[in-house]
Amino acid sequence: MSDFSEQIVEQIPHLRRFARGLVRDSVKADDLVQDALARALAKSELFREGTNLRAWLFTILRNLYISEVRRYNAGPKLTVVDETMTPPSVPASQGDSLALRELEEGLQRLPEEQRTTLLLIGLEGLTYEEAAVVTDVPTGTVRSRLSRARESLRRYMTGEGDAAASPQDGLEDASRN
Amino acid sequence: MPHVTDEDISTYVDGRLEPGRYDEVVREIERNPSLRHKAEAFASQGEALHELFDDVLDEPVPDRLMQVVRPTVANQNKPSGGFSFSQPRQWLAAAAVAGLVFTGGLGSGWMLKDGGNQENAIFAPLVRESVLSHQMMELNRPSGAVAGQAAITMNGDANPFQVALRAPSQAGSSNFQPVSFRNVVGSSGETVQVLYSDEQGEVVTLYVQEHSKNVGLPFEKSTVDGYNVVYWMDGPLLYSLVSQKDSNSLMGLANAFYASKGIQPLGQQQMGGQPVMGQQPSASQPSGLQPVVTQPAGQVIPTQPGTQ
Repeated sequence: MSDFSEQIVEQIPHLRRFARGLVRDSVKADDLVQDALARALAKSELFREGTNLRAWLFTILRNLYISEVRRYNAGPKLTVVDETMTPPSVPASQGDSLALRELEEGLQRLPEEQRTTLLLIGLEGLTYEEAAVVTDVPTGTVRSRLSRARESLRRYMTGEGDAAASPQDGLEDASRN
Repeated sequence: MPHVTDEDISTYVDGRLEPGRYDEVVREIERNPSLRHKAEAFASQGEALHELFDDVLDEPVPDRLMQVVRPTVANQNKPSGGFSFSQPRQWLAAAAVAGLVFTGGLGSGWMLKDGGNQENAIFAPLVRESVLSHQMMELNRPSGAVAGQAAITMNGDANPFQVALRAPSQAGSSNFQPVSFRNVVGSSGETVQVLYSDEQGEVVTLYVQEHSKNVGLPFEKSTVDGYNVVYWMDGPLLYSLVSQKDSNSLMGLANAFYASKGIQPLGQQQMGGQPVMGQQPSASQPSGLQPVVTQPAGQVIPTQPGTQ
C-alpha cells in the first residue's frame, strides 16, 4: 500500500469523529467517511505534499455532507426543520450525562456552518486558518461563526432562552433551506 | 471601559487574541463575573465535545472503511494504534483552556508559566501547535532518514521566511540528526518544522515561526500532555522544541540549537536578547556549526554567532 494510503488510514478515526459530530447517526456518519475516503483516493493527485492531510480530508468530507444536506432539502419533506434553538426543559447542571446529551442536541441544532466550525476548532484542534481553508471562508468569518456557535450553545445549555439565529445567520443558512 | 464581545471571549479562550487586545479582555473578564462565566462556559464546551466524541477514536475502524483504502487486504481492521488523540486531556486546546479557566485562573495565561500576558499571547499558539505538529510528525515520520547530511538547507519554496534556514546538522554533542522537514501553516502563518531523531529512534521537533515582533525572549519550559517543550524568541523568529525527553535534556538541546545559530534572519546578524534559562549559550562557544546568512542574490556569508 502506498504511503499516501497509509497516511489516510491514520486519519480515519479523526474523520469518523468529525463525521459523528456532523451526523448524529453513526451508520450515516460512516457512510459519509466511506464516501470521503473514496473521493480522496480518486483525487489524490490534488493533494499537495507537505500540506495538512487531515484538513484536506475534512474539506472533502464536509463538502460531501453539504451535498447530502442540499439533496435532502431539495426533496419532499413532511416536516420543517426549525433552526432556532429552544432551551432544554431541564438545566444542564443536573448531571454530566444529561449535559452531554443536551450538548449533542444543541450541537445538532446549530446551523451547519457554525457546527462545522465549532467541531473543526473545538474538537479537531484545527487552527482558525486551517478551518478557514476547510470551510472556504475568511478567517474573520471563522472567528465570528465560532463565537456565535459557542454563545448559542451556552444559552441552550443554561436555558437562558432561545438563541434564535441572527439576521446574518439567516443569510448564511439560506442555502440550506 | 473597552467593550468585550463574544468573539473576543471566544478568541481569548483559544489563545488567539492579539497582545494589546488580550490585556484589555483579560482585565474585563477579571472584573466582570458574567464575562468570566461566559469564558468558562466556552472553555468547558471544548472539554464536553471531547467527552462526547472521543470514544470514536478508540473504536475499531469498520472493515468497509478499511477496504476502501486497502482493497486488497481484507480484515486488517485495527484500532487506532500508535499515538492516540483519544484521551480528552491529550487534546491540547481544550485541555489547555480548561486549565486556564478552572485551575490556572483567568488572566494568568494558559499552558505557559511565568510569562507575561503578551508573551503568553505570543507563545501559547506556538506551543500548542508545535506539540500537535510533533505528534503528527511522529505519526507520519518518514522511514528513511537523511542523517549524515551536513545540514538541511531550505531554499526556494521550502523556505517561506525572509531568512536563511539551515537546520543544524547535529544538536550540540547529542546524536540527534535531522530526519525531515516540512512547511505547515500555523496560526501566525508559515511555519517550518524540522524533525530530528537519534539512534534510538527518539525524536525531537524544532518548530519555527516568523513573528512581527523582533525581540529576544528567554527560554521558557512547559509540559503539555506529557511532551516537554522549550520555547524562545530570537529576533523575528519564534522557536519551540518539543520532545518526550526530560526537560533538562531538552533544555540542553535548546541551548545547542540556539548556539548553533542554524537559522538566521536574512541579511541581519543575531538579533534580540539572549535566552537566559539553563545553560545560557555563550557567544564565544558556538557549537562548531557555521551558520549562514543568505543574501537575496543567493550569496552565502558566514556569520559570527552571538554578534549583536
